[in-house]
Amino acid sequence: MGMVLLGIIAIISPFVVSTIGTNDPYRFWIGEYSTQPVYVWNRGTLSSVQRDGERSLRLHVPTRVALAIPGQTNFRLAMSVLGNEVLEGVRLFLRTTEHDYTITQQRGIELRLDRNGVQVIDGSRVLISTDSLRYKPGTPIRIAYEHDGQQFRIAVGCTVFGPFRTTRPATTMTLVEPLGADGALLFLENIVAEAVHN
Amino acid sequence: MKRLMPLGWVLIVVVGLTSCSTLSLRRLVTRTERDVYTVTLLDTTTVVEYTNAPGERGVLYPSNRTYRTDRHLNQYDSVVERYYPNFIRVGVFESVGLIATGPTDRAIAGGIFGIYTDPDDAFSTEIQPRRSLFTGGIYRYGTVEFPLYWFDEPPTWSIGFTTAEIYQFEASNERAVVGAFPISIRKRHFLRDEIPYLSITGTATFGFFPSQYLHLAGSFDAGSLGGLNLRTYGGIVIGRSIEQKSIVQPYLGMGVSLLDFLNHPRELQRQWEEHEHSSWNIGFARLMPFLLMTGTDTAATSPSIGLQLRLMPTTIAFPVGDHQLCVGTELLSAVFAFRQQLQNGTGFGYGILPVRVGYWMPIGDGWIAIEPYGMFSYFPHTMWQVALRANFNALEWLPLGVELGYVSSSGFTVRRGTVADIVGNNILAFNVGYLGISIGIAEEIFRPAQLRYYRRQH
Repeated sequence: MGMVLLGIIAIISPFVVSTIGTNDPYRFWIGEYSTQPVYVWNRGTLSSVQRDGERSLRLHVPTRVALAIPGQTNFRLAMSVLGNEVLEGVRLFLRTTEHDYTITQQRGIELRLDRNGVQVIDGSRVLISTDSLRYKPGTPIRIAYEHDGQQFRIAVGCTVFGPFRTTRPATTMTLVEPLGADGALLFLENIVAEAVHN
Repeated sequence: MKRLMPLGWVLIVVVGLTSCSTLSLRRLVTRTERDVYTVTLLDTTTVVEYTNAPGERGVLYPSNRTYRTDRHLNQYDSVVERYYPNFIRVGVFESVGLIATGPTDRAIAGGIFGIYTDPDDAFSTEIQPRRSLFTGGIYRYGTVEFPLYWFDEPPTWSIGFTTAEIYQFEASNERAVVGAFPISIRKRHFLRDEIPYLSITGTATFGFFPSQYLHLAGSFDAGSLGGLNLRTYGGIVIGRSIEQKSIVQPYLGMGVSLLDFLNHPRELQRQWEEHEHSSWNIGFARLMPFLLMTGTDTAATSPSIGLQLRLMPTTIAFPVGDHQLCVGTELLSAVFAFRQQLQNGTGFGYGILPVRVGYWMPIGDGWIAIEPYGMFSYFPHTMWQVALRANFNALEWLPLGVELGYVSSSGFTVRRGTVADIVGNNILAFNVGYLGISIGIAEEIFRPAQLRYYRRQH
């Protein structure tokens, strides 16, 4: 009986090992029970990105996350941004992918919210630059954006920018990078997404 | 032998389950990244059509115009898939020669790598005790390691399993520990981050069936280079032997492994197509039937033929000059030369880890390569070969070759065992010229652009 049990353990052990080994803790889902789950890919150290509730993330500088809506390139995504005193702001890279950003240096459309204001840059074109909206430590600010074909719109707080037109292809990913020194902390709360066309 | 039958059944069950399950081998060794881009093209065309009536109509006569505006929205997805390695290590075969694991007169005498067994014992399950410094051996077949993400650091930890491993401490099953799918956890500290890697590795292995054991070891590893690795081991095995006898056995040893590929953690982020290679070719086997051009039986009425089998051949580009000078080896090179039967002898020779030196001359982009080479085998008897081979990368994983060469083998005598059963006791020397056609099985021929040396230059 004992040998049979040990034989069964031997048989299942490669499946257990390969399941553990191919499991990547740097990738996980949030909002997995909602109609549109969001795929998160941590590009920093393992502890630099923590899931904080069903739809929220906690990011410790230095790090970067890729948020993806698998199968959807035309989508709306909204989240609340909240940071501590050390945080200088946050950068979002739209219409790019982690591979393009890292390997081919294609940054897509950059949305920067920091203590000096808001900037939206498409390559070398500055689409928006304003200092009336700024990142304030401890004050949550809503960021939302929508991709619809060549058009995209961005809302920061209650202000809507766009629609803008771009020739960049829409992608499933958004890269989020907190700005600041060590100790800076960024909360991304209530991350929700939906497809523009179903 | 009977005691190893359950092990065989376990292997068959697991291989069957694996091939039937979604846990396919491809998914095990390759991670696929998929990026989707939606390209939107918006195009507006305006056509203005004048439809004036003919004839003179004066200045105030109205002219008819039709404006037709068409707006086209064309949207399509562009999908990019990239493939990355999903493993730290995949190895087909590893052999370690152990010293001082038993009385020197009861040794398996496998030599420095545990693989140079006497021809009487070669390919046999019954090994006769001999007097030797190398008393034991460790043999591993099919090792896989995956990254283990512990301690918030790059995956220098790994978890893996070996399809089958045997710890033979002396020529007796009472002192043999056998494991099917033992689980191993390893930690590597890289001393050298460039290929070939140098690392110190700590290993803990848990075996459940048919022997129950714990294996703790430390090793100094060099490789992999063309799938070749050299390792020095120190460790201890605590458990029960295949005969269910208690064993606590420390050991020291040196090992070699073939078709054993190690990925540095950073290489897990590098696409397969961008991986750096050090070899001109590497494969599981190469089979070459050949026609004897010289050394045939003069009385023969039909053509004399032969066969050469190379197991796990690899040809490593030598890092000097234009890197076309190459050295290679294989686990086993066996030559049968039929029609060489003389009295009680047969034309047969084999070599373990022979040394091959050649010059690899790729033609064009490397789809065809000409390779003059010389091979020298020193164990268990002397055999040498010179040849000119043309390699054709005809089919993926199945390259073809045409070879013209000469092979010379000294004779040897075997008293018993598998070699004696198949070939006979008295194996005579032979010298033959040949023309052969070879096929590589699961073999890949690399183009110059795939070699790391050329990538750095360009």
